[in-house]
Amino acid sequence: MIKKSEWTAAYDELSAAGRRELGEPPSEEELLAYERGELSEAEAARVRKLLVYYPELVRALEPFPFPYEGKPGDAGYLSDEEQEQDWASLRARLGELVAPTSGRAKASRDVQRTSEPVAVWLRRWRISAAAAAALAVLFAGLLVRTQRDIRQLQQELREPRYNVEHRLLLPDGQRGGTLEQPPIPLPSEADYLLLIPALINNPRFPDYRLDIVDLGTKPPRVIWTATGLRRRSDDTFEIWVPRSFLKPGEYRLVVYGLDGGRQETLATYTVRLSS
Amino acid sequence: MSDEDQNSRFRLLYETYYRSAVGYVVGLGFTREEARDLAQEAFMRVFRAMSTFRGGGPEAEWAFVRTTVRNVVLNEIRSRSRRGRTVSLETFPVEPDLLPKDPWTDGPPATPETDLVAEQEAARRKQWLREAIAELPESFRGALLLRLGGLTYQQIAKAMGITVDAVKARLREAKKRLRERLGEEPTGLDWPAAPGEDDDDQEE
Repeated sequence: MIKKSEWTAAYDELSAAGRRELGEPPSEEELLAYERGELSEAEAARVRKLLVYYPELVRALEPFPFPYEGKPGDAGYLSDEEQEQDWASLRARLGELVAPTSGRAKASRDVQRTSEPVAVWLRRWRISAAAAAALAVLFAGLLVRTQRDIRQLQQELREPRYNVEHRLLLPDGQRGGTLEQPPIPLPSEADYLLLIPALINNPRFPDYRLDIVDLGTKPPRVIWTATGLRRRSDDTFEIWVPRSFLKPGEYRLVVYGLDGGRQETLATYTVRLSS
Repeated sequence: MSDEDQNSRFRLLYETYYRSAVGYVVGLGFTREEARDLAQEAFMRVFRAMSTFRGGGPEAEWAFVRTTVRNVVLNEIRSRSRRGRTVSLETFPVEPDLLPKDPWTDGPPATPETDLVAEQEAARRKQWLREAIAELPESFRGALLLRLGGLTYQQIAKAMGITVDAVKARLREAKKRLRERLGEEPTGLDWPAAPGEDDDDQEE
């Protein structure tokens, strides 16, 4: 009989050794990119290796319960009194920024605000202006690049089609077998590829989006996105992709379900195009 | 948005989502007090970002709050990892010790005279088990360590990028190899049932 304390001791020591060997846990950005399937295979493998020794990070990626259905007595349940206490504490931590919304309080806050040193406001304004300028440049660049990509894609779609190859794509992790699955090979000699991603046991959404992520760039980059996809009665989509649009390498198709402002990743499909 | 509007909206967000945030953080293994502190930290960030947040309806607001809370929690977990602290493993899926007496001597609990021998034996057993786990191939060891870390099959599947069935298969293989290596049944852990049998663990 192996005792709980023996499992615990073995786990603690192996876990500590793993952390020492592999180093820092993955960053929030890496984790969220991993969850969305946006990391290259090498980066995803590194995150997977680290997560073995940081299981608490995996738990933190769990869905968020809303509405909270705890009952009085549950560890996570807050009474109305506690919620009010926390609100008071939060207000204290935020200082005067969150004031009662009465006119008197607002006037008091305005007086305080105008008395703050001008230098502080000036510095904030400069930081905000610099950030806004940087964002404007970034979005302008993205817009130009997207328009160029769209023009290229539209032009290629107008061209005569020859040698069309179609591929049914089963989602990553659902192609059978127990070990990690290799990317789905795509025929490199085709002029056009008709990709048919299949969904398995996924709920229906009013709308769908598909992204193609280039896993060869660092960080992986979305090179094509399409919304308004039609889910066919056999739970598949059809995506036409000009072969010349894809350089040899690995790509990941990500299908999202869209419902109002909500977006859910339904499946990913890792493919490889050889030269 | 005026300050007054912003305050009203923040209060509404707090009323709507704060309980969920605390429940989520407690569910990750933090204490109630830690959870309340982290949820407050997240809502402070929410408030500070509200002036730049243009909204988009309740769904967008909910996503905004949820992302902020998750980031605060991930950040806290990473900080604790660097400091060598971990979140308590309250969900550790190990069967409770059932033996009321010393399992090796089959006698009464150790007395001061037997302490040294018992300690040496306990240390030897721990090393024996640790080495057996360490010698497992990486994919089986990873699944087992995540299970020992308190994760469900679903969570392990997500962490390893494989299916739940593949997780169970790896755990069964890990059990088989441990049995061969240890020369005894690796009891005391909630292993997945063989294919076709019902899992006692109804988590999936």
